[in-house]
Amino acid sequence: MHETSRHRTFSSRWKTVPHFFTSVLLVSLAGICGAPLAASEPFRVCLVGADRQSVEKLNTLKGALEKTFGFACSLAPAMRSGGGRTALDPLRSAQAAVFYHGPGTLAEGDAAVLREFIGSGKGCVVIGASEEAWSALAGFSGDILGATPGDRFAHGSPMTVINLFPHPIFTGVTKFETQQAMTQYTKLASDAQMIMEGTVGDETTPLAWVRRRPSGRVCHLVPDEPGLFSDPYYQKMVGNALLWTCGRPVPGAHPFVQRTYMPDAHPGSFAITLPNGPSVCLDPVRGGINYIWDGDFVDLRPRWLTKQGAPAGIFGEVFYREKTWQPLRLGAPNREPDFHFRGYTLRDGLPEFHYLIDGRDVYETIGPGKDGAGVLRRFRVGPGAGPLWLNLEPQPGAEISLRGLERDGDRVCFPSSATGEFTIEIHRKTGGATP
Amino acid sequence: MRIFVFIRQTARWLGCFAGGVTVGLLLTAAEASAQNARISGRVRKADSDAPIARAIVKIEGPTLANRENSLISQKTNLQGRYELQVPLGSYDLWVSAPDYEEVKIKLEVAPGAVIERDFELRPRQRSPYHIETLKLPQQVIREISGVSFTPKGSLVVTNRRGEVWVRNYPGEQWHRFASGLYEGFGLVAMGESDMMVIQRPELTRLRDTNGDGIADVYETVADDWGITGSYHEFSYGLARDKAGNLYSSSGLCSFGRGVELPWVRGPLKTAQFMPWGGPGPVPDGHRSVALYQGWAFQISPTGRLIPFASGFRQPLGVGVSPQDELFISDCPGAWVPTSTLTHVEKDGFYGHADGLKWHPQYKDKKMTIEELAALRRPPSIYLPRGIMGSSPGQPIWDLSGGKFGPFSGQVFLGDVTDLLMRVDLEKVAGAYQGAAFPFLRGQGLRIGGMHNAFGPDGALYIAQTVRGWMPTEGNEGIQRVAWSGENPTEIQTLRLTDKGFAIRFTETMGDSAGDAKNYQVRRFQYNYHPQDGSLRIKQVDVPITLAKLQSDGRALDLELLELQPSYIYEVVVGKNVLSRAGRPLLNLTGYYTLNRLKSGETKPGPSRLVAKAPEALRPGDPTRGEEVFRLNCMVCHQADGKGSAQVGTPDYTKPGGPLTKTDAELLAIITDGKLPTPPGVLPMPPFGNVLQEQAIRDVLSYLRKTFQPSAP
Repeated sequence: MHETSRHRTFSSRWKTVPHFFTSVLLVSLAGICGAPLAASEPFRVCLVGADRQSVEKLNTLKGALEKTFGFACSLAPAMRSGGGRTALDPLRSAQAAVFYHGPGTLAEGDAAVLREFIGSGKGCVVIGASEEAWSALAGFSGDILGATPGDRFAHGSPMTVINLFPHPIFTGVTKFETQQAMTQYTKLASDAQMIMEGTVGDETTPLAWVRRRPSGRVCHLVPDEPGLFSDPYYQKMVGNALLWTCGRPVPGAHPFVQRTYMPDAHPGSFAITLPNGPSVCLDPVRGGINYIWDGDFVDLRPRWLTKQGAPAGIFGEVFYREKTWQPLRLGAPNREPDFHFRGYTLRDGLPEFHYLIDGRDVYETIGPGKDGAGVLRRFRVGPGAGPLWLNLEPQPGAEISLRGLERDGDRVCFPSSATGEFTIEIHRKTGGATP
Repeated sequence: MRIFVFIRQTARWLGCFAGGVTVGLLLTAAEASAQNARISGRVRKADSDAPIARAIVKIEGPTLANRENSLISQKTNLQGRYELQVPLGSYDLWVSAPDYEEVKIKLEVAPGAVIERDFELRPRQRSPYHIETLKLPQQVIREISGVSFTPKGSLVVTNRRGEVWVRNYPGEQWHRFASGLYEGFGLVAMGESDMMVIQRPELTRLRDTNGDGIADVYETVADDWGITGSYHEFSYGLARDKAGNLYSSSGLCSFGRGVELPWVRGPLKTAQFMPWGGPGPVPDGHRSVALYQGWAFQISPTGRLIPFASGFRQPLGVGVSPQDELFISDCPGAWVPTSTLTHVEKDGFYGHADGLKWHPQYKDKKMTIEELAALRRPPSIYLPRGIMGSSPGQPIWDLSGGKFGPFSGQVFLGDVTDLLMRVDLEKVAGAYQGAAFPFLRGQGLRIGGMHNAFGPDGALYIAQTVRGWMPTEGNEGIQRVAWSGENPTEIQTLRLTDKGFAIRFTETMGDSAGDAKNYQVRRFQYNYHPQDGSLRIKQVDVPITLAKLQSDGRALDLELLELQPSYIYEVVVGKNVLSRAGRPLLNLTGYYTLNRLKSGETKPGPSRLVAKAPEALRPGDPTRGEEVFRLNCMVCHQADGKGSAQVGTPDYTKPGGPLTKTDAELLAIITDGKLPTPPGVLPMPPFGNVLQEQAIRDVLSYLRKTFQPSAP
C-alpha cells in the first residue's frame, strides 16, 4: 500500500518538511563571522597595510568597498600626524580584513592583535603577500598563505591569459585585465584551491587561491598593482572575497555548472557548486546525483592543463552518494526506464535539468536549501501515464527531507499523472558517516 | 590524434634593439668567460652590399640547454652586424629576416675560438596572403577549438575549456556566450543567439532566450554514441547542410590507457574487430571501444542521430561542400596509411576496421584484409605525410567569390603543423578525386589549425589548438589569413586528362613552363594494412612525353608515358619555371590522387614502368637525420632531446639514458616501437612503416651526434 500522507518521515534519515519555502537565495548564512547582519549593521572590514604608503594606497579600495558594498571600513595602522604607528586596534572589531602585502613589522602588542585575528576564524583577504611583510607571524607562508612567494613569473612578462575559475568571488567580475608583472608563488598547499591562473607561453602561475582552514577562510590575490584598486572589477573581487572568507552569501552569486570528467561518474557529468556549498556531481547517464561533497568547486586543472587529463579533483568530503541505475522510473519501480537526458536551462541562475522518463517530462532544479546551505532538488513533472517512482538509498551522512512524495517501503512515488512538483532537500548530517 | 609533426621552433627574441645598437647579447659574465668562443659577422643583401638591419641571428645547441629553448637569439644592428658568445660545442646557426630566405649553417666551436662569419640573404618571394593574429581578451583561453560566423557576421569561437565567445559584428567587443561545456570541439553559429556546439558527450544547442547575450538554454540535441572517459576520445565536427542536417564524427579511443571501464556510456567492446596477428604489441592502440567510435554521424534537424558511415580513425575535419556533400579528413595510423580527405557517402566504409564491430551487417563477421579492402572506399585525396602535414583539420570551401584570390570553389584545410593546404577536387567517372597542394607553411602561420571559417570579409579565420600535445609557447588562438589582391603565382588546378594532367596556372607563364624537362612526375601507393601508417610503395618516376603550354600561357597539358589508376601522382614543377613576369611558383608540388581514370577504370593494368631497386644502405647521416627528427620525432622528444615527463619520453642527454643502448637496440625500437615503461605514458610508436630504413639510420646518427652525453 502506498502511504498517502505528504508529511511522513521516510526511515530514520528521510523526512518530509511541513512548509514549502519560497526563496533560497535571499537567506543569509549564519557563519563564523557572527550572526547575520541586520541592514543597519554594516559589515566591518579593516584594511591593513605594511607601511604608510601602503595604507594610503588602500584608501581607494576602502572608498569603493564602502560605496559599492556598504561595508564599514577602517585603515590600519592608523596614521598619527607625525607619521608614527598606532596599534592594530581597528582589527579587533573587524569581521574581516584585507592585508595589502602584510601587516609589516609589528610591536609585540600589535603582533598579539594580529595573532588573535588570524586565529579567530574571521575573514582574511591577502593581496600580494610577501614574507617580509608577515614577519610578525611565524609560519605565515605555510599555515595561512599556503604558498611560497618567489621571483617574477615569466621574467616579468604580462599575462597572456588570465583565467578566472568558477567561484563566488568572481560574481559580477565579467572582465579582469592587467598588464602587471606577477610574483610567482610556488608550493601551493594541498588544500589551496586555485581560482585564478595566469599564463605566459606554455607556463602558468597561480594568481588567486582560497583555503578553508579550520581557523578561518583565506583568499590570496596575487595581482597587487595599486592601479587595480580603482578597477571596479578588482574592487568587486576583493569585496566578494571578504564576504566569502566570512562564509557570507555573495550578492548575485549563483551555482556554477561544468560538464567534465569526474571520479565515480560517467564522462560528461555535471559538477555543480552552490554559492555557499556544497557541490554536486550529477550524472546524466546514470540519471541522478552520484554524490554531494562539502566544499568548493571541482579542481579542473587536471583536465585542462595536460594532454591526458586525469579526472577533475574534488575539494571536500563526500557525504551523500547514490548508485542506483536510473532511479527515476515510470509506472513500476522495478522496471528500468527509457531514460533520456535532454539538457538544461539556467533559470534565475539555477540549472534546471530535463529528463525524459519513458516519454514523461521531468525537470529537476538544483539549488541551495532553504537556509542557504544544503541542496534542494526541486522536481517539476509533466503529465504522463502512471506514477513516477524514485528509488532512494540510505544516506548515513545526510539528513533528507521530502515534500510532495508518497512513500512505499524503500521507495517514494509521485502518484499523479497530471503536472506537479516535489522536492528533496539534502543536508549534511552533523557527525554523519561518510558513504 | 597521433601527431608526428614538424614544429617550427618559435624563437623567443631575447635580444633587443635600441637606437641602432645591439644590446641584446644576453650572456652572463660567467658565460662570457675566456673559454667562450666569439662568433661575429655581418648580414647583407645577396644582390648588393647593403646591410640587413634587425635580421635575427639565432644559435642553438645542446650546450645552451640551460637557456630557454636552448638558444641565443639577437638582432643585427643598423650595420647588419652581430656578435655571439657561446661555449664549445656543436651548433645550428640560423639567420633570417622578413622578406628574405632563411640561411642555416652548422658550426663546430672550439673553446676560445674567434669566428667571423658573414651571411648573404636572398629576397624571398612574398606571398600575397597576409597572416594576422587576432587579439583576444585576456580571459579567453587560447586553445581555440572551433570557429564559425553568424549570418550577421559575428565571429564565434569555442575552446577546450568549454566556453563559447562571440565577437559581435560590427566591432571588436568580445563577450562570453556560454560556458561549462565539456570540451567543445566545433560549432555552427546559426544566429546571434542560437548556436550548435559539438562537445565530447553530445551535440548541444545553445540559445539565449532573454536577450542578455548569454546562453540560458543548453539543449541536448543528440548523444546516442558511446564514450569511455579515455583522454583520447573526441567528438569532432561540426558542419551543417542546407536542409539543416548536422554532421559530426567520433574518433577512436586510445585504448589501454585512461579508459575508465566502469563508467562507459553505452555498450563496451574492447576486443579488436580484427585481432592483431603480427609480432609484438598492437602497433596502433586506437580502438573502437564504445558505441560508434570511428563513425560519422548525420543528425537531423529533429535531433535524430543517424550512424552515417564507418571506418574512420581520427576524423578530425568535418565539412560540407556547396553541393551538400559530406567530406571528412582523417589522420594516419592503422588502416589509414597517411592523412586523407574523403567524400563520405551514407553507409560507406572508409578503412579502419575496428568501427565495424558496431555495424549491423558486419559486427559479428570474421573478415580478411582482402575483404576489408574490397569493402573500403578509397579516400578522395591522399595527403602524403610530411610535406602535407600529419593531422589535417576541417575542410572548408572558398565561397568568397574571389575575395580570397583565384581559388573560388576550392577546399582549404589546416593541419596540426604550421601548414594550410589547398585541394582542387574534380568528379571523375562519378567520384571525387583531385589534387592537393601546400598553400602556406610558416610565414607567421601557427600550428594547430584544426578548424576554419571564411568571414564576411572574405578572409580565412583559422582556429588553432594543439590541445596540450606539444608546447606552443602560447601560440594558439585564432589567425586571419587575408588576400592582398595581388595574384599569387600558383598551380590553380591540376586535373586529369586521358593521357596525363592538365595544369592551369594562376598567371601567364613564360616559355620555361612549356618544357617537359622542367617537370617531374612520380607515382606511388600506400599499404592498406593494420600497421601504423605506411611507407610509399611501388614508387616510380613516370616519364613525361609531352608538355604543351597553350597560347594563353596559363594552360599546360602534360602527357605521361603511362597513366594508371589507384596511384598517387606527385607532380613537381621546377624552380626555373617562371611566370612571364619572372616569378617562380610559390608552391611547386601537387599530389593528385588518381583513384579512377576518366574511363571509370579503377584497377591498374600491366605497366612498362619498373621501380628502381632500393639503394644499398649507407652509414647514418646526421644532417639528413636532423630533418627526419624534426618531422617525426621532435613533437614528443623535444628539440633539445630532453624529452617530456608529460608525454613520457626520456632524456637523451642524461648519462645512463637511452643512448647508452647499442645501435641495434635503438634501431629496433625506432622501427618496431616500444611499450611504455612504466605503464601510464605513451608507447613509442613504430616507425618502420613510416620511415625508410635509411632514414631510421640517419635519425639515429643525428641522435648520437647531437644528444649523446659525454662518457664519464
